[in-house]
Amino acid sequence: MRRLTILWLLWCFTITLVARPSADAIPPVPDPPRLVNDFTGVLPTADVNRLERQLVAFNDSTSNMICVVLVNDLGNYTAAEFAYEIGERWGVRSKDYRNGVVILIKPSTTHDGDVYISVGYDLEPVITDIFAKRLIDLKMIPELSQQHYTAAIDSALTYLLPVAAGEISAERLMEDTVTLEEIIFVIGFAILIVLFIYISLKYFNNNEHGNSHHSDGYGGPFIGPVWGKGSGSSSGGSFGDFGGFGGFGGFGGGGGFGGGGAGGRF
Amino acid sequence: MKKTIKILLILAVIAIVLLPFTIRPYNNMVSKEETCNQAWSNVENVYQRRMDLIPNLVATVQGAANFEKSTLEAVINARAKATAVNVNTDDLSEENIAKFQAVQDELGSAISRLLVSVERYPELTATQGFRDLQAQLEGIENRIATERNKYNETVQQFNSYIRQFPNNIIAGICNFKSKGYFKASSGAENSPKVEFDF
Repeated sequence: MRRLTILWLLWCFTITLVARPSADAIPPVPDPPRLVNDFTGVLPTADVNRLERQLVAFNDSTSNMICVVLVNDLGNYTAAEFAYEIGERWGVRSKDYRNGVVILIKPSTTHDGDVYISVGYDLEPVITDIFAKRLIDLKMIPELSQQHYTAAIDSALTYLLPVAAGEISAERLMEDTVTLEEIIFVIGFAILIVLFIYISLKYFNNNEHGNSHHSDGYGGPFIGPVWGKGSGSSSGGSFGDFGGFGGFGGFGGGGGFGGGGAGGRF
Repeated sequence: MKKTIKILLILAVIAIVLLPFTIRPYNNMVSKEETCNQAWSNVENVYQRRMDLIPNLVATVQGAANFEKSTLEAVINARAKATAVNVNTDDLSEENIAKFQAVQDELGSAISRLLVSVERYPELTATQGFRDLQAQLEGIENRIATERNKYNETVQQFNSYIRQFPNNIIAGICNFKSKGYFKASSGAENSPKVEFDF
């Protein structure tokens, strides 16, 4: 009987070994979500944090999401496929636009370094393949070939940020997202609240005008939560995201990438 | 005579009772088919971008001294052939997709051969104009692969949906036909490998 149990356990063990899916080279979505992801350790922590702050701030102000990923192993993927998969699986884009960019770097050990800039659909008009290729050839590769990874990323961002911001910026977002219906809804809601306060005050005053203590106790908590919730969701929520470091709100979703971009070797 | 009327009446009642159950699958088929059409138009779009790039490529390469005319002509001819084959979204059948893929893959391999033979002319490949073209061609190949995959995924969803029971009956009555896939292997073999060694 014991032998059978051992056999059974062995069987289960081999099953799990065989059935385990072959390790996919694409890393899972970072938790907590981060825009600068160094899986290699070639970037100093201070630089990672500084770049993260810079890109989160850029994401907050323009909604463009630029994600930097450094990996040692591309698995069976080409650099282009790897960067595309990261963009799609992590969801590098904002909610309203397919405005993500993935900068993928595979550090070089023996002249086998790879760099790829994958561009989301909505940024393709400005970050063209030619633009990305020139950026890589002229600005990044000279730094990368000397193992200056931070400098390479910095110089890429120097050119990418203004171009991306010129295409999709916070102002355009505001134009698009606040519709007439929303304005009417907010105004209508405000009128309703005012009416509600007015009526409830009148009601309590008329019915219990002698007992002001009681009406305070009732009216306070009744109006309080409504008011508190309204202001909390409109200011607290959105301003919290603008809070600077550590405020990255998360990735947007799939469907943002169509294979555009360019790559190079170093 | 009376019997047939009775049977017809029963059938009509059954049809009326069943009708509400067909609405949801039907609507799903319509929206899934629309997704396929959308994906197909993206596929056509990227192939069109490649064809639009070819006059530019030809003009750039022609300038290089004593370049082999035959390789160039192969590209021009393949492009002309590819332009002639268009697939309407109404008929994304297996044969049509295969035909489309065949001419486009031929164009792809013609471009690939051209890019290989160009390697022997460093005075051409070193120019910024040619490098830009190469970057564009590489980007387009990536886009083609991406959009083809996306199209195949939507078609797979549509096809498996309309073949399930009882959807297959509704699909048969409403004339929803399964759509063709891109074959991965032939595309992967012939797509131009544009390698950069700087």
